[in-house]
Amino acid sequence: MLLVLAALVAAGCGGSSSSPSAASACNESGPTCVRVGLGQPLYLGTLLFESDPIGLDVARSIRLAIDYLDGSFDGIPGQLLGHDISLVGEDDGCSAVGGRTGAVRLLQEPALVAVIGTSCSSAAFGAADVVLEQDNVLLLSASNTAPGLTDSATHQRNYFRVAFNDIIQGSTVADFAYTRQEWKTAFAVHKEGDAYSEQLTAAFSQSFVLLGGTSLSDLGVSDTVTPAAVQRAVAMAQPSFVFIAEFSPVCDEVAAAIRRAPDTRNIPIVVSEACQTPTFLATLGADANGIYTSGPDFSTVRESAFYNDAYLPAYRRLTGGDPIGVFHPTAWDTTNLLFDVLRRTAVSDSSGVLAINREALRRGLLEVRGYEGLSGRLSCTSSGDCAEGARIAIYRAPNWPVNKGDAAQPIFSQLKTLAQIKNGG
Amino acid sequence: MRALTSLSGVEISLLCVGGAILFAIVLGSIMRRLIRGGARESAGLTAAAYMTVLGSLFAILTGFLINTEYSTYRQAQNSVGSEVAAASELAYASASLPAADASLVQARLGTFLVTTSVREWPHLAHDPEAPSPAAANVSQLSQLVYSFGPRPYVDGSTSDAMNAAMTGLTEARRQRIVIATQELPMPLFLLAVISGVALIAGALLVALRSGPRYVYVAAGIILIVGFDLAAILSISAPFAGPTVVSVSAAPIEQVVNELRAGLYLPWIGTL
Repeated sequence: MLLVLAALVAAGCGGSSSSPSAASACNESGPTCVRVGLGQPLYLGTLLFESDPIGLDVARSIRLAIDYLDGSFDGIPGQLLGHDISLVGEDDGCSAVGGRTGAVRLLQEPALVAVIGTSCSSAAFGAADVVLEQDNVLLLSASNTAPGLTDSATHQRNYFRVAFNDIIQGSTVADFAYTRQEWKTAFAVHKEGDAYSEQLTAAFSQSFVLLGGTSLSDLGVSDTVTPAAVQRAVAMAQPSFVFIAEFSPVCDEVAAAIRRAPDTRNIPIVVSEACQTPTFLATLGADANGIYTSGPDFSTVRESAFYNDAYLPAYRRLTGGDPIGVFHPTAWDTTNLLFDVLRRTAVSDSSGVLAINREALRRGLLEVRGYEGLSGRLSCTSSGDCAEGARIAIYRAPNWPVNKGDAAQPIFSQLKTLAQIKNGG
Repeated sequence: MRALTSLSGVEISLLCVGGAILFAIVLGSIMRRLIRGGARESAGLTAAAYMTVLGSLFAILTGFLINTEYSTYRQAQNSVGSEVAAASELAYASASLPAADASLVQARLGTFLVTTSVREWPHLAHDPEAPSPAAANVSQLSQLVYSFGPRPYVDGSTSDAMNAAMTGLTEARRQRIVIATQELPMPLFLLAVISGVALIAGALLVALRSGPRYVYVAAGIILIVGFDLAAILSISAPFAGPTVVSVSAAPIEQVVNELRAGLYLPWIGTL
């Protein structure tokens, strides 16, 4: 009895705390670690093409995600882990040079946590992704779709994307054209030297040929190959349809040239999601009617009660109008996915210093399996693709989502996964 | 009294057992000087007659106090268990929310639990009546949780489950704080000390009469009195004092670690 009592009362004193110390996670700021002092903001880079609707749409969604950090769309930015978010923005210029330069500029901020971007695949592919890789900074894109960015031969370790892979878009366009419309010959138009454009038309052509179709040409638009020259080439080839994977305003000009020439006027046109902008429809006017566009199927997004009841009203309050692009759901998911990983991996010490291990951020992303985002189900893989699959739809102008909003109904829609396509599906 | 119960195990042992021994040494030497010859015989006989009564009185008092304080200690443990269970239920329920909301709720819950274990726990040991450092965190968490009820995109059963868990969490926390503010009843403890003093005095008188061979019996009684009083002090403050007999924040830290590991997030964990 005495011994028991003695053991009880003579046992050690003091409380316990198992919270890991920041020191164990990150000793000092450097290539792998970012330490954020009490009251200092978390620097989040954005590398977007904000002069274009695609980049602007993504930027707005990022702002909404920051607003929602306090659990409400009240117009006041919330805090993450007790710190404000400070956006450090650079323009990707929708080019490799712009992406590289923007990334170098962003790295001037030593406490940069991660970068959301780029808007255009060409700004990331072999450009921003390589620059940011050198400093172990994560690059997460909401709108890059070029297959090469996540191809094992060219993928950079710290590059991830929530946007769908154009292998899916190319395959869906091919299915729509060959199987549904029974178009047997295709003429593809891309932007010369642009990763997104070249890789999408290549993915499309590959799928189209596999289905039994004939790819007559995959023509690159450049300074020497003008829209008028493209129209002449189309007129010569007389394909069943033309697939244009270009950007505004060149996309608009190429489509207009084909539509306004008598010998190509009746050739069906399919444009990729990069052309799916209000300016395209405005430029072509009545000539746009009947032009098809591929892109994310918004009927899935619109099934989300959160999107309809919370996100969309907040977007309208912020901008005074409807979304102007197709990547705002992926931008919302990208930003929130990053916030989620930061919450799980950042460590705060007793003095309030927040230690962020960039390597832990990457590992945290790789743990994501089945994140039900606005844009669909996300599972991040070491290849960098987070979208498990995508429902790609074909819309017919003027019933495009950017024009008709909720009323736009796809005429064709397919849900495909990367695994399906890679296995020959 | 709080200062006394907040001491470590070693300090409490030194104070009570050492105090009893010191008191016995001082009292014994006084007795040896003042009580001599035949007086020792009569004093010893009288003391022996009252030893049973004094022993019983001391045992009843200390037994009652130990039982009462141990019940409080168990109650405190149960309230921590309820709090942890409610936190876990809240985390599970929040998993049904849209991903951004689920992540936010669990982050706020984690912040509250970290503040509870790191800052509120020591606070309960030293100054439980002062405003808690976790008060703002629990307020933010409850405001967030209750804000989901009216949102049209949130399923009714999800918000009901979250509200119920939040209510359970706040109730258990409040109960824990109430227990932390309770103090050992001073009059009863003083009575136990007085009866212990009387018991030691009686034992010394008996030993004085019977000779050095019986000093071991007196020593045993002195140690028992000392350890009994030390045991009462040790278990009377569930959030302070010796680690072995204070309520541990480990279950809360376990939930914090689970939250950090994403075990309650459907896209990470094993739900």
